[in-house]
Amino acid sequence: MNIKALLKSLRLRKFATGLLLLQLSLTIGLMVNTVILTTSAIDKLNNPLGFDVENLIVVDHIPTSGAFRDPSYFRSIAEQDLAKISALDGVVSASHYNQLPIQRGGWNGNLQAADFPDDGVLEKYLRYVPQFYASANALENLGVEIIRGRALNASDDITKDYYTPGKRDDIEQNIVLTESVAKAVFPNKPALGELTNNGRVVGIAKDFSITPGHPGNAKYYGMFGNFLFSQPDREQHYIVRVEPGQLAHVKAQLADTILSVQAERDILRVQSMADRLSQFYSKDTGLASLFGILSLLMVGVTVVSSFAHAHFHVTQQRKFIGIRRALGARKQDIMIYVFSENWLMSLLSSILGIGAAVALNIGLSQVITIDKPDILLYCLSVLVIFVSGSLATWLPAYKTTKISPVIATRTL
Amino acid sequence: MEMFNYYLKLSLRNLSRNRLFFSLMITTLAVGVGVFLANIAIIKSMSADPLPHKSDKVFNISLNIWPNANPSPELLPIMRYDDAMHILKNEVATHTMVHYQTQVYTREVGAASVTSYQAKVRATTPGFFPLTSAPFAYGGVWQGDHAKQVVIGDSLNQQIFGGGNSVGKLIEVDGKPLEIVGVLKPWHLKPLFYHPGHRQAFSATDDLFAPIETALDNEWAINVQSLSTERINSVSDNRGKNAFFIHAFVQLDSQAQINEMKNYLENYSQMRKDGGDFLRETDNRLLDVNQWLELNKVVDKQMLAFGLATSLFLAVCIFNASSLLLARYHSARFETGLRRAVGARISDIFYQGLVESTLVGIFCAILALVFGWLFLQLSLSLFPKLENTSDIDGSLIAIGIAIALATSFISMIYPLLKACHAQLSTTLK
Amino acid sequence: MLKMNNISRIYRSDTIQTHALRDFSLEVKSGEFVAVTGPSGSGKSTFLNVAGLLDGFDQGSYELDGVNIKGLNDDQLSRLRNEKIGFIFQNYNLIPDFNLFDNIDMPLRYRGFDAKERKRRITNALEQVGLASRANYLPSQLSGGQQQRVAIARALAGEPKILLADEPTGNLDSLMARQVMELLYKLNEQGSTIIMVTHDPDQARAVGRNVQVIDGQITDHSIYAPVGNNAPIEVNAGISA
Repeated sequence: MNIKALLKSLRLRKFATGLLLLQLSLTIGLMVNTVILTTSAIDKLNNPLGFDVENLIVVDHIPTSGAFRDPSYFRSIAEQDLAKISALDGVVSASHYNQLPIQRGGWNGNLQAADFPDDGVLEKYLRYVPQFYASANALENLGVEIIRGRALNASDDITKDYYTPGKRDDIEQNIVLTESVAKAVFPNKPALGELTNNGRVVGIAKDFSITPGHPGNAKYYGMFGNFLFSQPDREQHYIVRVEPGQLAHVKAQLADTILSVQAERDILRVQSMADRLSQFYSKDTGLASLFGILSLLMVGVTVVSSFAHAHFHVTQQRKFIGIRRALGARKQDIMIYVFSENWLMSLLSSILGIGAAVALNIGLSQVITIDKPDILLYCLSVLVIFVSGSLATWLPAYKTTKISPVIATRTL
Repeated sequence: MEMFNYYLKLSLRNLSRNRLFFSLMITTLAVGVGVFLANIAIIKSMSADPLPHKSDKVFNISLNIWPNANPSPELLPIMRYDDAMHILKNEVATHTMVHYQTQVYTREVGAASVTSYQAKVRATTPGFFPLTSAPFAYGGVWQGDHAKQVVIGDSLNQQIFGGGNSVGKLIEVDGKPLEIVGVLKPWHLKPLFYHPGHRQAFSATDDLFAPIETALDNEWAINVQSLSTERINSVSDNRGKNAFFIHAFVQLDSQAQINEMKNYLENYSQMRKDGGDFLRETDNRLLDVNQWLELNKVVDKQMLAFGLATSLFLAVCIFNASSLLLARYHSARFETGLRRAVGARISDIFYQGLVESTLVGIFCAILALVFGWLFLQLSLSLFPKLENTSDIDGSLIAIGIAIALATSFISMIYPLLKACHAQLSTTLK
Repeated sequence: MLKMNNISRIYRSDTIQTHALRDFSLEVKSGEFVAVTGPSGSGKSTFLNVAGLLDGFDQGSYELDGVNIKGLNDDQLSRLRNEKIGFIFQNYNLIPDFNLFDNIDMPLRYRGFDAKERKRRITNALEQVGLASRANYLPSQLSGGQQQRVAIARALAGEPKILLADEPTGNLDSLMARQVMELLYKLNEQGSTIIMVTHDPDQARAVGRNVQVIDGQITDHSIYAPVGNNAPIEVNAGISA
């Protein structure tokens, strides 16, 4: 293989060669970044969330009638809802929540030790700790384990006192914290038994994913109290835990079950927790899909170019190929010659492609978060280019075998 | 003109004689333009100016007052009831309004059916309507801060009353009647500049507009964003407390007004500081509509990222078309050489190429618009949240055609120039 | 009509300089029929390229129909080619998917004639070469000799001052070659100035005047008794037809 001769031949057609090299490198650059986006989207979806995502159904609803303004009416309906849902075939348990795990934003507040100094500065994410007001069995319902202390029970329910005039300010709530937030609020001592600005810690729960968008352990921060916020202006949430395989069956009945208790409700959404998860990441998966489609299109266009480049060269060089054959080159020598030109292009573009991949990665990181490219990924993309380029070159290379040596002697 | 017709005839003949080549070239170029255009449609719609006639005169107010020590420097877009009331009292701005977002279920008083309709509510002040240039179809704004009067939007009017002049009719929320004093025309405001945060930027305009005091009186809950540093016992309890939930906007028509407003806010901050509040390190902020939208990063980041990728793809498609044309002009060199030999000037050959490129560009434009539409539907299906964010209007189609023609031209330039300047000789190949 | 004085044309590559034409001087008067002969590589083609304004020259001067070529830009040269020169190529060089009418029409388009004028000239030209009835035919439907005659018609339609023919019968068998040559003689009788490059010495001698080119220079300048009646009187070197 005469590399120098090949390079020279390419240099004579600088413009055409340059165009193809640019296309190949940009395609490599795009493919690398597409795979990065795709794998990160898949990772996010497959990240262990720490709770039983597969067997949970979420119901979001809101009352439409003014009758619900009476807190005791509100409460009695909620209790009836949960009782009827729990009685359904295939249901393990059901709880109410003021907000849901896997969310952006929500019902947050400061969480700090009760003796935290007034002029102290609280760490950023401790100012936005999700405050879950839910049934006593809220965590068990999610499949989250209590690792220290105890779970909440009926005696921790503050709903009645909260809605009794005069009693609200005296409430000291019993709360359960997730492991990470407990450690963040009480770094130097066990949190169990300590008093916070939101109540006394009676239990520590295992970490599970509550606000996936927060960095580090802040995504696991959460505080749980046994309380039913009995005001009808906000969406209410029930999470229903089902036996394996019963999800579709139960999901179909939930809306009717709730409405059969009291029809003046708007059932906004009945969704499996798994669907909620994919919806949460729909932007990531959506973008990865778009990039994927674009990469395919780009490879397609580049294949067309590789084909045109090889075809053009072959037709231009017909006479010289004929001369070579007349002088003794075999058909496969010519074919290899044509292929080697394409392989050289792929090689050159794999070098340029490094720049393209890095530049595109930097450009994208200005608007979205994207991981940096790694070597393995890069090599994979280069391989795709080699293979698709070779495929594109096949037909023109094959056509050279039809060039008869007699061309060398023709004067026309 | 005669020559133009001749070149047109030649171009059509070239296209029909080299069908495979041209379909390949037009298709690959159209895919690049189409995908690019689909993304542009979304970005253009998202970065549109919602109030083009006065976007530089309407301002968001964000205050730097915080009740606790050591506040962070970042300003909040929401303020307290007391702050909002003070801002409403100003005599500087042409229009002032404050608002918060809530939601109710409502139906016509005395309607046979018990079905209540969900209504997104803007609890606000009378200045809202002239400031946002909200279009009234019937009636006008309420009289009195605590009035039990509301204005409704067109879609709610259609839903409850089937349309028409509903001024004077009564609707009920939680059993309490409210009189309709105004009905708006169908109103598209994109982005929703007065409430762009927390993914509200591309939701529809509100269904119901009520006096803010009435909403608080009736305990209509605060939606989207609220913050408090003390316990709030009910919605009406927000008055006078350190509960941040109200947004404020003013219309300032001159630089003098802007300066005066800044002073007014500065004085207020000082007053609150003297009264025991703390001030953040940043100054009070007045941002006009477009600045406000930019701060809220209303244009979807994913779409911007994809925009980068589609630009690269378009470049690749242009390069591809260019190399295809290079091959084509090379194989057409016999005729070009012949024409030059018998007396065609370089400009004649160039003009001929131009006409052909325009013809190709037109076919490409048609195909690109089709591809663009298809890809747009694909994008919207992958990003359902973008539903309201792409308008295919005349200007977009014009942009698409322009890009298709431009790319056709760009990809042709070098190959054509090369063909024009080829060496002449009597031995044409 | 054509006056070349000390023309030099040098082709330069990285390492080699080739003098394709060297001190080349030639004068052709209106109405002459000149044959240019010479071995391969002698510079005949270069001479034709320069004469036909397809290529430039490095030294010397060239006057065509009273116009000095020096310093003219491409637009002006193209104009001159279009108006004053008619090419006849060895390979006919007709556009295969145009019919005869459109083939002859092609150079006329660059002249700016309107449709009526073009039609008149095309019909005339086809009549002159005896193919008027086949205006709608495609070149592939004609014999080699007929195609060359169409090419001649194309050259004539512009009413050029000079016809430049490059081996016009090179691809034809002897019968068709005779037909084409007879056409050329006829045209010359009618007053056309023709310069013809040829390999065939018999063909060359049958024509009024011969110019031999070797190594880029004119070596022999013979005038033979012409086939037709209007003949220049001088006879040189004693070789007669």
